[in-house]
Amino acid sequence: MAQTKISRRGFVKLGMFASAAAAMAGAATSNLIEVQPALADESSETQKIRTICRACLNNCGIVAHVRDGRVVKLEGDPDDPMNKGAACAKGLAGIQALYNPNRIKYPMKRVGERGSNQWERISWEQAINEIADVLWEWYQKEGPKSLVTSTGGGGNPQFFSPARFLSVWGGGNFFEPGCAQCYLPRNHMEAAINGTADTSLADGPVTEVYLPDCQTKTYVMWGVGPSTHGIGSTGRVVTELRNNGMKTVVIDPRLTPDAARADVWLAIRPGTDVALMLAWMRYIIENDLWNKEFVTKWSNLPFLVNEETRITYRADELGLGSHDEYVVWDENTNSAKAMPYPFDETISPAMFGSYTLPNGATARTAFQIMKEHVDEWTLEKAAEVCWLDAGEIEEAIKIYVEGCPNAGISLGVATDQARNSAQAAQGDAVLDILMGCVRTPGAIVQNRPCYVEPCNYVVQPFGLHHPDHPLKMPEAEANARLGYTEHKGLGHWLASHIPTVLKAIETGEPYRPRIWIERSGNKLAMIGNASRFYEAMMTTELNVHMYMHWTTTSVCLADYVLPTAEWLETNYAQDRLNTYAIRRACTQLYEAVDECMHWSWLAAALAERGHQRAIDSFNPDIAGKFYGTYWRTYEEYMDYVGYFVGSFYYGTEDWDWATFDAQAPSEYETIEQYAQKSYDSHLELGEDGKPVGFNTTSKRTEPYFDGNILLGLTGAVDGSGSMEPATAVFPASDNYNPLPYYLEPFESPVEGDPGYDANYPYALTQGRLPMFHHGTLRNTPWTRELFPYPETWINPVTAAEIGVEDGDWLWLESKRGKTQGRCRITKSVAPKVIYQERFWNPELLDSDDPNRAWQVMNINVLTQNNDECPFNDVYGTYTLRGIQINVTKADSAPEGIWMDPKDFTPWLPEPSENTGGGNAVYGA
Amino acid sequence: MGSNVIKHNPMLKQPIMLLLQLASKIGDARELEAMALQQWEPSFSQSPATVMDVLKRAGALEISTFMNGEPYAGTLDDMQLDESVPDDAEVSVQVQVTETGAELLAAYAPEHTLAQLFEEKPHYAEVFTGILRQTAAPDGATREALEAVVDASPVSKPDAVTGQTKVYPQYFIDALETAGGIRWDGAWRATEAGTALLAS
Repeated sequence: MAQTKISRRGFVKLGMFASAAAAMAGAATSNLIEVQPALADESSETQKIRTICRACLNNCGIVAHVRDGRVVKLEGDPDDPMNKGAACAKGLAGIQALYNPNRIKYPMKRVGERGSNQWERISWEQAINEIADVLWEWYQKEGPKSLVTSTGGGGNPQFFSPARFLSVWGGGNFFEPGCAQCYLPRNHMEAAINGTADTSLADGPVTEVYLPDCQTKTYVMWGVGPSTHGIGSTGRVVTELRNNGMKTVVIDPRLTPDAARADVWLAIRPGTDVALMLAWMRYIIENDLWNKEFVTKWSNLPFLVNEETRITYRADELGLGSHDEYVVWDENTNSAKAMPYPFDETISPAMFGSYTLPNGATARTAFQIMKEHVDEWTLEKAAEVCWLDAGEIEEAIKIYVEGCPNAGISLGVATDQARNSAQAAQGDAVLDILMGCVRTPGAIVQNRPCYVEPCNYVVQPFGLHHPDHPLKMPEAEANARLGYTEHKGLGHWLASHIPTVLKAIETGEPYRPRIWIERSGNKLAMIGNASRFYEAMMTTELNVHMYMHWTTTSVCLADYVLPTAEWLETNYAQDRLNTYAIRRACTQLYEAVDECMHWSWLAAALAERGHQRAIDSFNPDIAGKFYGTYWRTYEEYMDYVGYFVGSFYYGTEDWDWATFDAQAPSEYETIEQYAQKSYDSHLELGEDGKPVGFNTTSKRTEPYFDGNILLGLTGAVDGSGSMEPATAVFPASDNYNPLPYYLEPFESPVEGDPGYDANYPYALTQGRLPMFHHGTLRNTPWTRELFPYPETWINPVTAAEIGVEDGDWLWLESKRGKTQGRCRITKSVAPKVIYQERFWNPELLDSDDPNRAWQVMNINVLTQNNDECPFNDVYGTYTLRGIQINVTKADSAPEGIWMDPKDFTPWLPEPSENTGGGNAVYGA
Repeated sequence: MGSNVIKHNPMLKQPIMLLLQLASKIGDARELEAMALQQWEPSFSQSPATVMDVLKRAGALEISTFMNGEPYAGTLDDMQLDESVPDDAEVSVQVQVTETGAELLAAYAPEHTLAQLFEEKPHYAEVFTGILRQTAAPDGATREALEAVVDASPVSKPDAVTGQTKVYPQYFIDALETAGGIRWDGAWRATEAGTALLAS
């Protein structure tokens, strides 16, 4: 029997090796200690299972080694087209997460008051029935608005499960702490403007960089750090491209591994990105660098704009043509003309200028409005606002421009986490359009669409793509979602506005959600202004927590906890470029189940009680094949996944799980087909013989995004939404803005600004770490050894000002609370800027005061999620980055936290048998 | 925790109020538990003993143990393990509502909370009264019937400027139930306090 020795240190380093993230490990590795090596048998009885990781959104291909029903080793799948054998610390921690002693193993019911951490084990049948009893009672008493559900991005592959349940339930609210603060602004706004896709590297749409002959010459990573957020796939590929000569610009307040290797790193002040974008736009326009061919023919910038409504003219409004045509100023005839789709070569549209229309009104071109809009944003002004050097800004722009149109900008989560979230997404989309970096080889914006936004989730809410589906949430209920009227961009993800949900729970107005069903890790560590969230959620009637491990949500807030499967226990599907990969359950422990079954079982229990929509959700004639029915067994669910993949990717209607499993992973088209299908795809001819264009109202890209106004007025960017705001009384200035605009952070470090407060002189930012995804893995020994406590990064100048030294314990305090971190003095952040990542301490859960687990070292005690801090208008984004804090020296570390590697011994894996999970003991 | 025990555990509001009401009349723990069990509803979710524990930790109940008529410095559980306690000792447990408990009883008394609701929201008084009237009918009222009451009122109309609906029917149902004016038993019915308010 051959044996391979794997030391714990070596095990982790294997993951770090794959990317530049090794640079991050400098200080952290000093926490590692030598331990007895683990022994991994490589006998002939070891089964190697190809599966997909879900420790983060990268979904890397993984080979799981399973022996005697136990997962004994994980490694990157060398045949996966995206990670190519790489795996990171998060993924490799999968075994420790799977066999973690802190797993929620069985359904549990709280005994005593909330937060008392006293529990009794109950059966699945009891849990489902008792929860369903409460649900049914409140449905009858107050209707569907009584329920609020939530999920998180912390590795949850079934992102839309709560929304699917609500569509059956018939109303209510769904939220996710990311959403308006993570990805929704980019996912919605960028695709709406460029008619193609967003530019998130982490979330999947940026496929170009993985192609074998990637032609990307310049890659601008704006708040993107692939070597820290997604090492296996994104970190690996960017490192490889950079090593092969691709130029990079990194815009980030902190020196990430990618920033360290960039051609230009702009250490921007947190929260000021849009100011910098406006300066880039101005520079490109003023220096005539924009792509004439593309912008003239495939953008709406030549169109004339109604100065009163700020919406582009339609030709029929001026008696110049049909409603489908827009109006340009023809320089050949010096007159207003209807511009037929796609383009009339006899017309020479003026790109800039102001003109008198046949009706006597004056109108400017959209490009002219944009030019005037950005005119104040000189490089010098941006440098002053963003705490940058004007020369370095110019150098960055030039590197970007030199690579265009085989270049592009990826916008990361950073800008989603402040009040300028929508505008940043607008700015990103506008820049790539100006430079013609759309659907060209090497561009970041490509037309390789996800079937389901975001991220190709298989399980979808009923009616997501079918407005007339009988199980789609009724329109009146959808329009009554909390905060939706004000922030209509939330509708893209069927989401509600978290601060408005909290306010409704606090005040009862406009109605009070009574039951909270939550499927993610630790909202108290992930949601802004955690103290407010805690107080609100302590007052709900019933809280149900579905998760894999005990967290502060379960211990401090929940009434029932339902054991949920780890990724190594679940079956699912995921596209990987031109292939479709499969997640295969390697084992199933205790009574944990895939969350799709939690929701299914609750739906079945509601059906038994007479809930008609729940009854219908099990009827294939009503649910339909596209969405599938709810599932009474896990096998039914698996067969639906197999059907979905076969139907949408392989052109067959008769697949089930066994068919999928027999051939996955496999190519559904060649890599050449996959690459080519995007390039110039707007030029392909449609059934009418004309180019199909872009997925926008005008079929052109729309950098002047008047669809934003229509979104605000009706709920849809083409004006077809069903909302009925009082359009007659709204001043145009209150509408969502067609162009990106900059707002100084509400709490500002700039003296003289209304948001300046000398008591809080430092700007706080946050950002990913290679060993955690959001709130996960704080209770696995490997990852906590690497990063046992949150580091507070402070520039030496600031440290001297405060009077602290490396290793000192600190208090960080905002207007909303105070928490701790440990000082790391580094030039990786600018003076006056403080960096600390989110954290929580599972070791404090089993203590006299479990609330300390989310309080003692959690920067979300400091962040904003309250009415006095303004939200982004389109998405309702609250501010997580770019808030003002004070920093002082603390006497010591928070009492009871674990820092020494030996402290984490209680969390070492607890090998467990394959029980078949909850599916083996319960079926609806 | 005392003042927050109901606020933070709304599902325990009814059993807590029942136990406090009983404890203000019955001091003997066994008798109290027996009486509580008689009135305990299936929807209460937690046992009387558990709720008793909750109230003790909240400082709303004081539970004293006596051995042979003398105070015993410990709980009943402690006594089971105490070898110095004779097997034939006479044991009793007395329950007393504390000041905190009395404050809870007063704060959540429906007469008080209902009056407070009408006082704080006079602009909604007409709708509240309309709902109470519907629920005072012999068969009570369905949710749909109460929604119709609210929908007929101008208060539920969207704001002309913002397009926002300030309050939905659920707000009124929720407020009246929380204040103890109506209760659900398969239909919405006015409580004694609700009926009394309507009569006044």
